[in-house]
Amino acid sequence: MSDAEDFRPGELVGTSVQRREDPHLLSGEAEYTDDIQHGDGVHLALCRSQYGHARIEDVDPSDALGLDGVVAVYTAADVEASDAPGILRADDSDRPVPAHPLLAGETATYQGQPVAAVVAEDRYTARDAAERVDISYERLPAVVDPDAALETDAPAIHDGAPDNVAFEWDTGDEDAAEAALDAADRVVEVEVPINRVMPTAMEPRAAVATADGSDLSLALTTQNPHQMRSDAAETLGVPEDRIDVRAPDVGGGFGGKLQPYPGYLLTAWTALQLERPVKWTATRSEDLQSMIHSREHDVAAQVGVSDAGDIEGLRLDTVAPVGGYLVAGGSTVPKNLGLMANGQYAIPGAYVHTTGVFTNTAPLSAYRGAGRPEATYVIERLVYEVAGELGLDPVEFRRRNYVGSFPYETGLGRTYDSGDYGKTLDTALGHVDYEEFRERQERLREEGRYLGIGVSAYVEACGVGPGIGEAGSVELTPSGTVVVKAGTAEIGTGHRTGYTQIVAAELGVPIENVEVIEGDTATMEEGTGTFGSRAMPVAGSAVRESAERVREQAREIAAHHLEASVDDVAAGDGEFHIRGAPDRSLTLTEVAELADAGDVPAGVDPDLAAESQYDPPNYTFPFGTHVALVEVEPDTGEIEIDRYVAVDDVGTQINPTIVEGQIHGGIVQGIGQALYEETTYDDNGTLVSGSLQDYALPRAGHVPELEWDSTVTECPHNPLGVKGVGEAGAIAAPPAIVNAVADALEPFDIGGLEMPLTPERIWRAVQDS
Amino acid sequence: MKAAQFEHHEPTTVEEAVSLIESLDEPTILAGGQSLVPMMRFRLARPETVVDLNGIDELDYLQEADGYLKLGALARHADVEESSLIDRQYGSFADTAPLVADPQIRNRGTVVGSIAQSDPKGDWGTVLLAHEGEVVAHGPGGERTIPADEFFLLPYDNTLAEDELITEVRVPTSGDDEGSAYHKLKRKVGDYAMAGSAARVVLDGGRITDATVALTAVDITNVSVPDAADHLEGERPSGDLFKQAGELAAEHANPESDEHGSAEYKRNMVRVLTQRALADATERASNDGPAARYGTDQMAVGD
Repeated sequence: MSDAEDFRPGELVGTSVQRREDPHLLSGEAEYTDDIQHGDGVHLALCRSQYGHARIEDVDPSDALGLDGVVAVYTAADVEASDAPGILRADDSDRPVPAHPLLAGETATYQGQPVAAVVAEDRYTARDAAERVDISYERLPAVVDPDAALETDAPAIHDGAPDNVAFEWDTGDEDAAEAALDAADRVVEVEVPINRVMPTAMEPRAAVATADGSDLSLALTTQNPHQMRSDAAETLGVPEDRIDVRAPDVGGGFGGKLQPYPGYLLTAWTALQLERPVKWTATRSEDLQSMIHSREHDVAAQVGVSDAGDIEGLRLDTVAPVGGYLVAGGSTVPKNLGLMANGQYAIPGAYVHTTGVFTNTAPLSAYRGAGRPEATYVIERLVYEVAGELGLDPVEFRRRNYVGSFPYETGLGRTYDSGDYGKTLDTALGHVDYEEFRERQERLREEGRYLGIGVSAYVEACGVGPGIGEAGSVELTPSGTVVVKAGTAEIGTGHRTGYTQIVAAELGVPIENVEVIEGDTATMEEGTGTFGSRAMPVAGSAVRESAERVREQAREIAAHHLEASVDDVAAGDGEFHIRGAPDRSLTLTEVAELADAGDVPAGVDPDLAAESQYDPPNYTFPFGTHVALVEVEPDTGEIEIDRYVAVDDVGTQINPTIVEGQIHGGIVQGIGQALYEETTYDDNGTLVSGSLQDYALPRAGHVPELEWDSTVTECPHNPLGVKGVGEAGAIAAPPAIVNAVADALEPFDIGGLEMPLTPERIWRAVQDS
Repeated sequence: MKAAQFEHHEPTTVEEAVSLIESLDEPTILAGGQSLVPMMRFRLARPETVVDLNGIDELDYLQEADGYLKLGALARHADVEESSLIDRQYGSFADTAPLVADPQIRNRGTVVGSIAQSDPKGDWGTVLLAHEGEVVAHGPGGERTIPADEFFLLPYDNTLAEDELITEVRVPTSGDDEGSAYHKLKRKVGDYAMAGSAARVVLDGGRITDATVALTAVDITNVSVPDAADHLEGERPSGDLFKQAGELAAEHANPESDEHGSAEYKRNMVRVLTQRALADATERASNDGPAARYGTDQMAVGD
């Protein structure tokens, strides 16, 4: 429909308009879940298993019930006696999945698993009472290391899984990989461990539930309210059409807020029992102990290469803990490692075998990147190490093995849509002046200073599809305001601004006229959620299609009133006019008013509204090259990041400032993974890194100035050309840092490096060399 | 707040505070609250009564008087960071203040509170030892002073009596020929020390006439290292001398392995940090050149 006189969407898409979310957030207007008050509301506190593995012998609530203001104390028996099935959603497996109950009945399989729920008139009393619930435990032998859990004499965590295996899975062609390894001039074997970290959002988990008969209304700090509605229906035995779930302002998610946590659904369940509003807000300690953890893997890799430097075969055997239960995402994440394991490289014979293992720890699931950081870390560490074995420059070795033409079927289950890997590599190396750096590195080594450069060349997969769509609707109201609704939830990511830009560009209206509503099942019947960097490529595509449909509907109405054929009416900047006669025009608001009055041509719906579902035909595959320049102090093991250059290609950028902000945040979390963060348990399954005093989240002082640049290779299969950007920084950063440190320490001939690269680990590696 | 219930008292004079402390049953004293309040939130501390010093204006000072640099019980870490009195002569104070926790905590937390807490991982006890300072305490019997090297007993324990309140810590005024420095290794910005070393030297005619070395987080209290001090006194400063002193400090240290680092690593870091602190202190005392000439480089510690 559009031609030369139509409004050019490019004028708004691609512009760094200010984030529309920020005035609201910065001025204290935001309403987080814990801010919601109900006059007659009561408060929930959870009693959690002290032990990593224990039989629950008895729960005695009498002391707690004796406290003034205590309303009720519930145990697993109370849930069982209710109408609620009481079992939480889990990933599918190739074997039976142990049921994950709302409250532990017979056995607790991780420290922090809820055992009893206390409801009181105020939150202080609830907490005091929770301490008074007397739980008798019989401690059972625990196992926290996934490799140890696979030993034949390891304690079995679930009766139904005596070998502690939660799932087994593979991808690729095992015979082809073995043949390639057999035929290769050289096979390099490398062990790549990945540290367990905790996605830590500013806002802890919180829930508020109100119940009226069997109607349930839930406010949750969540990334996926529609999924939470299904989960509440399933777990509580309440029909989905009696439940509303909304996400108020959400203070960060990072994947940690995709789960139907016991705390969320117990808030709902206790509200149904008591018919009173119930609020639950987790403490930071509770979050660290019992929100999902992520990333931990042990990977054994074999890479077959020719003497000339061509990668011919790859085999990975990965072991991933799933924690005390297999939860949603518990197998998806380790599978994502396998599905993206070849990275940017064309590998003729590739195969990945994955074993998911029960351990007495918090369950593991998705954290920003969800398997792609793990895949990128493994392949980029391998590339560095193999290049070193072959005596090749790691940059040239990468270039030699790049996937060159698209679409590219990887052999591991993905088909890359588009890419130009050399371009981001060249741009990044240009920024750091690679040749000059190598000379300086050489010179300073003679003075006893150890500089290193690390490259991370990544490709990742966003916007899961086909089969997982997203809804987006657009309505032009009689006042001229455009109301946009999407099935995603805003969690700090800025996609309200993104949707606004898309819709304002399509309709040619000022961004102030656009209102975006998300994260509420009551206003948007269909929805999937915010994860996998899918908001712009998937929901954005749906929103764009709806805006286009509304525009064309309005054009028909305008044509009717301008007494012209539709083809002769051009869509301008917030108006329609007859081609060649710009003064014969109607504004969009005038069209909306006419439609509201019912003054529309026969056969045209007077409601200027459209709702679209967009089902992506494939994932999108953003890529890029990150380069870290570090200096290592061998006397202490300290690492200084001198420069960090990121060049990302995320397809079309709707708002480059938001893109850059997302990259920054991700890089910071990646630096945390590489240098600081480590979730540790003792042998009994007690969390050692149980507070932010013990768990080293990166702070502003740990982050160098981040230098960012980008290239644009459009996604060929969605209407916006957008690939998604929420996770790329976290995916790219760890191997850039670790490869840089390995490069700096190259004269010492150290062994493997294990994240986080604490000063002691580096000092020890130097001492032992 | 997630603390258990407690009773809150807010005296406005030292006299009132001392009599409250005497009359109440096991009161806990609150100054900056940056250790106490988190422990109360975790419910690791459950004081029944809290005596809050924040209303006692007479304790809010940082000044040079009577031959001392004096810090009242309400002097915040940020006051040290921003004070014009803290310059080359009090180099270890200047080094330490910005390394304590993060800006929010420094705005609230107090130097005296940190010393009263007597956590061997605390930085200020080490600085107090390096400057051979004193703790001033008030109790029902009046005022007394406790030398730094007689103050610390055990982790979180010191020679303060149950009914005494620390009103001040002080160190002798520093001369032009004196310099001090503090180096700290920590797991992340804002953390407690994994290991720390403070050094103070006095130079005369190119020789060290007086020196102290004190350590953080490598013993049951903050400790000074007399062997290192003895080794330095009378000698001309050099990279080799500092290396030897660093080795003596490492031998003197008695670190334990924990989740932040092994004893072996901490001991080695005492060696490196002591060398660095001595080099900086000497540079500040001599006022004539970069520390690098003493054989250690200036790479930033921690951040």
